[in-house]
Amino acid sequence: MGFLDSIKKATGIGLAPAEHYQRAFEKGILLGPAKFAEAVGLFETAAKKAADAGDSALQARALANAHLYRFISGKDFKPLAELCGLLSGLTEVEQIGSRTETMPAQALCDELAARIIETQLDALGADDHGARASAHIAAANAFKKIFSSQLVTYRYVSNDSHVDAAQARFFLHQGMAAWNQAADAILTNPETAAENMGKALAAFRQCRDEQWIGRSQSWLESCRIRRTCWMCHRESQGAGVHFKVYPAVVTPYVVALVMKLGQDATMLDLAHRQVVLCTTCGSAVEQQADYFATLRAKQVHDELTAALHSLEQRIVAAVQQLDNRLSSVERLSHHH
Amino acid sequence: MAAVGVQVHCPFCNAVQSRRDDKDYVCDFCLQAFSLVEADKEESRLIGEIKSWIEQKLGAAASTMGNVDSSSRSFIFQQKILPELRRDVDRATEIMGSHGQHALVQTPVRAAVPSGQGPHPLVAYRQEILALKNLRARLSSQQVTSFAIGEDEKSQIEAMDRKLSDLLHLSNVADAVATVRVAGYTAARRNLDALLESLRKQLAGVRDAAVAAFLAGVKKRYECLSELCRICEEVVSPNPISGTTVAERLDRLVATFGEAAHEIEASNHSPADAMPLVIGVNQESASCRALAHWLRTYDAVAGSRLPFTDFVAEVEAVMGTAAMALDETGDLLKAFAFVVRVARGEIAIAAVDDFSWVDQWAENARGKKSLGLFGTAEEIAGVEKFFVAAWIADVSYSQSSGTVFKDGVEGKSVLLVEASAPEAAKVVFQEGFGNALDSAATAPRTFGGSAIALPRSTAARAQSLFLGAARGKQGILNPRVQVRPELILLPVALAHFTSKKGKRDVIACLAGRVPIAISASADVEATRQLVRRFS
Repeated sequence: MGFLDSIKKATGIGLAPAEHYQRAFEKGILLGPAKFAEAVGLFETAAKKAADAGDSALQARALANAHLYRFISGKDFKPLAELCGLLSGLTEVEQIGSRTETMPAQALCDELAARIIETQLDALGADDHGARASAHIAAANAFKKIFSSQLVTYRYVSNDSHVDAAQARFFLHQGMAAWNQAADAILTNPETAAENMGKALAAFRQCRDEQWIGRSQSWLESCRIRRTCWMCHRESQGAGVHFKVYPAVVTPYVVALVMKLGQDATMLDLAHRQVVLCTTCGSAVEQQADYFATLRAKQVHDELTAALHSLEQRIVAAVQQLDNRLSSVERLSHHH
Repeated sequence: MAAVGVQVHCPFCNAVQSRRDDKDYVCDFCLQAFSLVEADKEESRLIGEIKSWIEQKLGAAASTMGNVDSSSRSFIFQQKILPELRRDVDRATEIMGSHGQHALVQTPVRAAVPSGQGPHPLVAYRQEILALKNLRARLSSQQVTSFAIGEDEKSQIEAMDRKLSDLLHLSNVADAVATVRVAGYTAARRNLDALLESLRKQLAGVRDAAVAAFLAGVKKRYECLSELCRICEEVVSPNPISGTTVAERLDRLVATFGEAAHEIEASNHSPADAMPLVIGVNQESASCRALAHWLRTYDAVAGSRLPFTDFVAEVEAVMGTAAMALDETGDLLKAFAFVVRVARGEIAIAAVDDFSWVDQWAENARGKKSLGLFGTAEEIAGVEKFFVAAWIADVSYSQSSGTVFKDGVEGKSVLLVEASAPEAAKVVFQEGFGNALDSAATAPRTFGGSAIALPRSTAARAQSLFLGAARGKQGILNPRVQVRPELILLPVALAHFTSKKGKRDVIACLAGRVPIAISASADVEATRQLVRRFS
């Protein structure tokens, strides 16, 4: 390559549309991820030049790459929908980071379509379990379409560790959908919640997500436990949600008494000095205790305020007295 | 529960024993030894316990219950007996809730517990499970069942009893197979037969389609496990076996386990029960695949020269497979068998077999006096030459080119790392070897009798090392790596030097162009011993 060619390539002046396209790779993509953002502008220039020259195929390809690398370098999800549209008109597109190796455009399009569905989750509140479950089901279905594919964009843009295989994301979303269904059901039907959590556990195992496996396993175990309330003697299901343990004085005598009566001895924990209360009884006790505590706190506050007020008045009087005395002394000194 | 009529119950697991004349028994199901006297004593204790429980429930009226009409009995059952029985069964079994997701039958081949999974609850809570026999005795006692008048009441009692009985049998299976002995697998099979019998009865009375589909899947699983136990009985016996024939049976079993998992998953039965079971069945399937790998390796490497379990123990000790995940073991065994067969001259391999550099390298590495005065002069006591297996990968990448005007250009290269103790730091790029690798790859040859270091890594491990090394290499951008499936041999020299100061060993691979640890020489001895042992 001559010096003039090097100058042309360095400045971009006097290049044909195809050369501009090539330049986007050589001055951007092939110089590594740090230069991907710069390549976006170069692809846009190549697309404009191709449009001016009436080369619509090159224009679409250059625009697709501009959008793809804008997404990858800037984690900007806005151009994804337009990118999918452009990709649907192409047969293949360059692999990320390469000019010579290509991949089917449809495969990338399907992956991005799944990503677009995933972005819907960002708009949902963490406690909006019903809507989150639906969104996760939609995302799982999108990944089911490309179940056996390797993912190409997640290594560059992802909030979790499932970046290699589409099937891992399918199972992750299945698990998250079931998790949210369980969270949605726990207040009304612990058994349904447990069933959904069973599904979630199986899905998280499939995608080997240790963190979610641990969470769903302990949730499932808690969800299935039943205990009798010490106060109302009703049996509830769902540890931590429908019943809790509270500190109490538990003696061997009481435990023996409960056993002798054939009652549920698991409501007492002698070793840890705890007793089981259903959430209704427990919360009633807590709220009543809170009420009494607030009442007492107010009493103390009022008493102390009154005492402080009286003290303040005495101090003000004493200061006034001192002030008067000082004034008298000052007057006397002036006379002399 | 001992000699009731003609039945003898095990005082440990309460299982009914087959009739025998001897007074000393070994339980057919849990393998615990006991005498008839001990069984009688336990029976008396259980009867006493049931009696006092009934008295506690009914007070002084307990002794007159024989005269009470059936509607009163039913009322007492619903109000006093059933709720407490149900509660006690629930409380006693709640800690074992997650056992479904564990593989029930362990094969003679050990592997690391899947990450995030604790010990098997059926083994960890063995004592608590054995204690369930007290509750079972209560459920099946005449004094309790006489209160269950209606069919519905009877079936509720039966369901609870079946739940406990199944748990005891399942725990017996998990406990028995842990012995890794013929008797253990036989006892496990007997428990599985009992579980199958219980399932058949249950299936006959099931109306709900989802439950029926679920139970049909579970039945298929138990049948598969029973066959797996039969296979394990054969492979742990001291008799020689045909590894490939057994492996083919395991292949079929893998397919049937897959069907069972699918049936359970598709059954629409409670996912809280079904899905953990699917996980467990998939693990059992993975165990079968791993065992099949071992059996094929056994056939390829040892034939029927020694019992399979001895083979496993010896290879486990050398390769450290017991600490590896099941799916990883198969790949490592493949590499292991490949190299042992290469060392025996049974198969050809691509190799760089040029050792012409060794003499000059040893001379250069030898310590010499500088200026004839300083330092220590060493003598070459000996040089060992051997091969080390290595993984190769093709890598595509881009890099920056030019000084004033920088351009990105694409390139391809070959990565290489020795397979005995591979590390990312040991990965080398093609520049080191010229076209030696290409010419080696085009002409695989046999190297029977050659000294070869044992590989201790898989292609998957190499893939991650290659990718890490490529990403970490200065100037390499956007790398994409593809590991080649076959190993290649590289020449290694180990020089022993002596001097007044003592001895020193130095090692080099491919004239020092491929980093290698001195421990590779121990891996040569490992291969030598294994070849001798299995020939």
